[in-house]
Amino acid sequence: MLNIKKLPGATPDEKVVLVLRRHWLVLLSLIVTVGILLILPIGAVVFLHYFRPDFFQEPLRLLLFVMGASVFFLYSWLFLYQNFIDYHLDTWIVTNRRVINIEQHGIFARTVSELNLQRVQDVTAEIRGFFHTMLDYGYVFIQTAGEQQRFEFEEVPHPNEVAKIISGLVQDRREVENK
Amino acid sequence: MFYLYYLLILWIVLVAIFVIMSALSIMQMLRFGLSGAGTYFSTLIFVAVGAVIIAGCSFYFATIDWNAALNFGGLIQDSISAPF
Repeated sequence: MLNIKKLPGATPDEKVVLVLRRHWLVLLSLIVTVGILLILPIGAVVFLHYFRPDFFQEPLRLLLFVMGASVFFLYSWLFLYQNFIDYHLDTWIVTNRRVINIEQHGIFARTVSELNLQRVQDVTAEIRGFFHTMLDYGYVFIQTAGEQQRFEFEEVPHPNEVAKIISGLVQDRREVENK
Repeated sequence: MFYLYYLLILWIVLVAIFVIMSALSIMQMLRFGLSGAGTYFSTLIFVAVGAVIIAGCSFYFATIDWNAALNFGGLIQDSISAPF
């Protein structure tokens, strides 16, 4: 498990400034879809109760329904959890020395990139779209002098503030290095 | 003859696959997640709901006579013949 207070390769004077994830709205469409799936077995029971009240009087039908509905529910629940993992493990950590970009691709694929603040050339915030504007979430692009030329913070809350903080940290870092 | 316990075996196999996939997912979450309430809480809710579903079904299945044979003909005929 990744401990924020003990990041790998941390120096004694390193402090975590920001820990970012994608905006919760990104999960909303998933939650709505899976919510509908989870409610389907219950909806079927209610429907049959009103239109065929004698449907479950046959014990075998009730047994088959319980077996089918339980398996359907369990796999929908697992689908929701796996997509939540994909969301939850996508993290951007900004310290006073570096930026760490952790991207989870599915369950078994993961990319971790690290960027020293000295190599940051430019920080740009972008908000585009109605919901993005209303809820203030968007993208932050960090142009680098490294092998990976651009770091992207995807759909993070308050991207303008994040960009400002990172720019400030980059400036502070350069001042420290130039002394 | 098609006995009910064939269905029970099928159900157990499907639930076993679910448990294995869940265990792998939980392992990845606990291994790579940020240590904190969000990671533990979400995992706990996932395990709790899954356990309740499986336990609830198990209690119901304990009341079933699994050695009985399945009568597909009667089951389907009643569904077709009785209109809404």
